[in-house]
Amino acid sequence: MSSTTTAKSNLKRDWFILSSLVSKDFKLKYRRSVLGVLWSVLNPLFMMIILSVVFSYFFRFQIEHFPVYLILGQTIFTFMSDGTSSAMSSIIDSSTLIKKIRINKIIFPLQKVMFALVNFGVSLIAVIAVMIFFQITPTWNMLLLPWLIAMLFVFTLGIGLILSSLAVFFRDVIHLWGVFITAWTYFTPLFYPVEILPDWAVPIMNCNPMYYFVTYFREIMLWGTTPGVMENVICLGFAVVFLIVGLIVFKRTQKKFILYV
Amino acid sequence: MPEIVNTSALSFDSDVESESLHIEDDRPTAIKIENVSMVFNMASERLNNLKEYFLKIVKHELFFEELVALDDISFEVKKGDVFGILGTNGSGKSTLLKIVAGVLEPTRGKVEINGAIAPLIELGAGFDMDLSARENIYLNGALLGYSKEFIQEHFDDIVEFAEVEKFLDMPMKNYSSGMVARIAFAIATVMVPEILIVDEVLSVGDFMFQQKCEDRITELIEKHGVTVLIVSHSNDQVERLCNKAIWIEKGHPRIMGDAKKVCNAYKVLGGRKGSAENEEIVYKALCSTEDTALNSSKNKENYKIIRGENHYSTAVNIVYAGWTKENCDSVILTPDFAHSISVTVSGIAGSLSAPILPIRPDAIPLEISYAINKLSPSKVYIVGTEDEFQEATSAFELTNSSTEPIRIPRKLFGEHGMLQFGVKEHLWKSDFAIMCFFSDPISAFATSSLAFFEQAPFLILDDTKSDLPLNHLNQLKEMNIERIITIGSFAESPLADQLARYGFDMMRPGHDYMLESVNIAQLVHDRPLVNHDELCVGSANMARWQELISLGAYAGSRRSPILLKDPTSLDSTAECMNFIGTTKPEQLVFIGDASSNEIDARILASALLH
Repeated sequence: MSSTTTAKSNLKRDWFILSSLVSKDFKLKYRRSVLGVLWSVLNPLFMMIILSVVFSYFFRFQIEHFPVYLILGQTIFTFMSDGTSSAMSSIIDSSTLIKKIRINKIIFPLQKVMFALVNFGVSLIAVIAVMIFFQITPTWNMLLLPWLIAMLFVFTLGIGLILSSLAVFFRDVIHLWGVFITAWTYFTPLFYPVEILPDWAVPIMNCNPMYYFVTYFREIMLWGTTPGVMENVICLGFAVVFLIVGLIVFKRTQKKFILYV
Repeated sequence: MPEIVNTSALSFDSDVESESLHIEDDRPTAIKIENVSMVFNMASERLNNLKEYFLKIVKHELFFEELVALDDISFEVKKGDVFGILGTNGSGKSTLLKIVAGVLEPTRGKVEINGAIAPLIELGAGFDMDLSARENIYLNGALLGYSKEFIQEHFDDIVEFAEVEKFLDMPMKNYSSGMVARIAFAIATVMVPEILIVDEVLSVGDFMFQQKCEDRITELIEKHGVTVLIVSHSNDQVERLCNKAIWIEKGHPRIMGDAKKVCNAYKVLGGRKGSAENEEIVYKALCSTEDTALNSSKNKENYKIIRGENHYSTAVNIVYAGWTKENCDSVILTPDFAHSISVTVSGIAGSLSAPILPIRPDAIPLEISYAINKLSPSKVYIVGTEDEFQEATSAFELTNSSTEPIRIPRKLFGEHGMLQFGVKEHLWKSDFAIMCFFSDPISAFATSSLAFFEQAPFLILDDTKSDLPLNHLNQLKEMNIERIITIGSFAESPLADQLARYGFDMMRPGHDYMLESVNIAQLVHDRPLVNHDELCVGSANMARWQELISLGAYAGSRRSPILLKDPTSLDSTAECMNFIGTTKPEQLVFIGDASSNEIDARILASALLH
């Protein structure tokens, strides 16, 4: 269809829609709750405390600054899992909108991943608090954080796009993904060191993208080391590949959404 | 709603139309739809999970069921046009709008849009009920494509239009539906779009809201030259607002062009059952009535319409058409709770040359008492049982009339029945009686004029009866009744057999026409000394049968047949036109509902010209 609106104004309009939807989600998430936004900080904090207690005292892993190790892995993983899970139902939940207004459908999963990003941002407060508590010295490597987040965002978005398209046609995906995320949680070294893995699990770990993202985060924040070229390439690779696949799947199927949603 | 409707394309065939098509239209195109079809895969509705998907693949059922929502539609809307889309439910109107709005992609065909579209496909898309109005205005505005600055600028206008100043920061789930609709409409129309698409949103909300919406839309059309695409069920609305229209039936375009023409076609043919041939006949008649002024003035001379605001005033107008103070000696009043009463008393009315007027069982309506005063008859009769008569008389005394009403028994048979009443007063003059079942009110009304001018007893009997008691039959014989005219389903009943066995000569209307009411009109027409120059046409719409109460007496006083037409059936219209065309009366008199559409009257009258 030809349209006289320019591409630029389309972008501007889409951006405004995006930000409106994200702020709407944000307002609604904590409306009527007493602590409000504070929960985005408290949640990871409490999770970390519980997991630290469980794993430090019951399993006695020999990891220096175990709580920091924990919270770093946790927040990163939560970003990915929340982002992908909410993106997954984003199209279905917005069915009324899609059926009535001509809108760029990619906005919906994108918006959910952005919202997860905002929550991640807030949870960084908890991370920093814990790091200060354990007197971790900051290094220049922390400046790589935005780059990591960008790659992780792209990665999450890619998965989100795939899931949101599939969920429209096969609602089973929603249940399957829940199970998959749980398994993924255990297959990523969030609360155990990589070293304790048996030999057969090592190849699986090497294919696990979250392993690399989590390790990258820990390297720049906890251990103060600079990730090597290889690691950057791997993370970037995962991000780009999934984004491309996600875009292809999404664009191919988006015209049919309205019929199934 | 009939499932099987005609969906073939209707064509204009007058020369005037083809002339106007040659006029060049230089305006730019706003919307162009070319051969658009939309096919839905119905099986897709049931596939929501992998298991079903695989099952269907295995069973080869995956892609079979299709629903063709739109079939090869093409039209063009120029800038500034107000284009209406008409059609019965399920005809594909909303689907078409969604395609134009860009929400749905057509299976085939091309859509060209030149201009920014503001869709009003459902008000409040994107409203989140947990947010306040203020927040929702920004959100909805964003979804409609406005920028933040624009919304801020017009925020106050929106709030004012919607009249929600006091509630801005309350969550919208607490709002009434009217408030929600107003806000949604305000947001949608605060900007002046280039193309506005309206999908039946004006059908929600109270009349003030609808008025506000229409005013705003009219303002957009007149002051800003906005191109509007409007879907409506309301013929009036489309006729009022649009200059061009299209009628789509079950996905097929039926007729397109000038809004008035399309609206008329939809009004007359839309949603009505009937065969394709009959529809063609009626449509051709419609087209002929739309032709030049010469034609229509000729038409006007050969029909007249009698109607009123309610059935009482219609009855009064019918009576005034046939009676004045000078020639009205008696008046018969019948309670309007059953159709049979006025029909059975028609013969007596004929004998007394009295008009029949409807009353309520417990009151005399104002129009009726006024009419009685005006006609000032010397005798007033009221039909009813003893008790009903008492009640009606007390009501009658409240009017300023000095006459004492006389009771005509409502019950038919027996020593104190209506038949005996007529015998005592020497009112029956015919050698035949008319018989009909209670379940055939249409047939009964259609024959009432015959009863009137032949002064014949009209017996309306209970369906459940399978025989008449002997003394009833004897009573008929004593009245010198030798023949029975059987109407409607009565003709085939065991009662009719019994009467035949008892020695009555049975007569029934012929089968020339499919509709019994037309056959009855033919029967009456063929009788001796019947007025062939006038035909009274009423509606067979049983929702408004009370309008026909006074018809029998009027038509009877003129010795004219009565023709009852079913307004929901094109077959009926075609048959009536056939009858009119064959019998060629000089004048048609339309009663009440039969011509609440002037068009219906003209269509039937057009049969006189060919």
